[in-house]
Amino acid sequence: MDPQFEQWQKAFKAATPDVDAEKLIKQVTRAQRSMKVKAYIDLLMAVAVSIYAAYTALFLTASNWEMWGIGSLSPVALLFGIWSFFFRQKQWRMETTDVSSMLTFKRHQYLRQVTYWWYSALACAGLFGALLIIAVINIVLHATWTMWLTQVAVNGAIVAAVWVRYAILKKKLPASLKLIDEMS
Amino acid sequence: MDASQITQLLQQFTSLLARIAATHEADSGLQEDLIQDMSVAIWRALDSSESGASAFRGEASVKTYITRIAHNRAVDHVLKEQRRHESPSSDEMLFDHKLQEKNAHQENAIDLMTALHQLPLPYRQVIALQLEGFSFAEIGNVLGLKEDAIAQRSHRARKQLEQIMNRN
Repeated sequence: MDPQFEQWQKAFKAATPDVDAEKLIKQVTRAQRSMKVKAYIDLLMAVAVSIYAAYTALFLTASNWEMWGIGSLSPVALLFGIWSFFFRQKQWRMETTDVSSMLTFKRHQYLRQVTYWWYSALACAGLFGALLIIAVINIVLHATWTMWLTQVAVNGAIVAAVWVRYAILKKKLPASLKLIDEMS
Repeated sequence: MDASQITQLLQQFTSLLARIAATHEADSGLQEDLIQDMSVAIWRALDSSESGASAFRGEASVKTYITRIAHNRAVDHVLKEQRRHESPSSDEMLFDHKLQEKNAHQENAIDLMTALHQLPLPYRQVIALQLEGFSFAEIGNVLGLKEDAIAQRSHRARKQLEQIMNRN
């Protein structure tokens, strides 16, 4: 090994930041435990929501139409809970691959994120349009101003937030991809 | 691996994790967060109770495996920080470490870390891993690159580092 490299190596080791290993391990075990608990609580919550929806559909609905409507929605929370539980596991497994694979994964993730928010924005805008039509009909026919205007205002704010999120992510995308290219 | 084995490994490699954090993050406050983040990721990967089996299969040494996870977390951290601040890349940032408050004989360490932070990240990673004592094959395992590519990067990184050190 050449002397210059040896000198760098010594300087590099001397630059090691001070870390309290005991404190770090305590923090890590606490964080690890709380992450596990959170994952299981999320899953349990999803099960509870699905059970409640099924109970409502079977015992609290007034018509068949309502029963089938709510009943068909009851597995959604459970499926979402299971999906996010396994998605988390898949995500942390990604951390064990090499840096190059992780950067490829990140690149796809950023692209998927923008696509996801684009479709969300479109879906929200579509639902808002439908809601607006229903609101106008109800206001004209029944003069129920307060309820429908509140609905339109609340949903309008949600649609705006989704579009803003999409616009920000789309604007950031080229810079993020460039950054990944620079790191690869 | 059980909790006591993982704890032992974390204790053994705390300094290594701290240096990886210092290589990727100049701010000492953020370094602490990054070290914790890396340690949590390592724990999850080694913990056999997490999903029935540990993700570590012994294809690489434990040290290389831990380094790989730490580097992944560090790169993810750099991406997040730069997306959050949209500031100039950390390559242009000065090394803002607690060392600056310490005595003069550690000047070499400060100079080296300041210079390292001016290198582009792919070069910085290779040179830091070399300074850690990893072989080209091991560095390739961490970064997911072939040995030839690592050798090329190493050569360029050393050249740039020399230039920066001389300029500073």
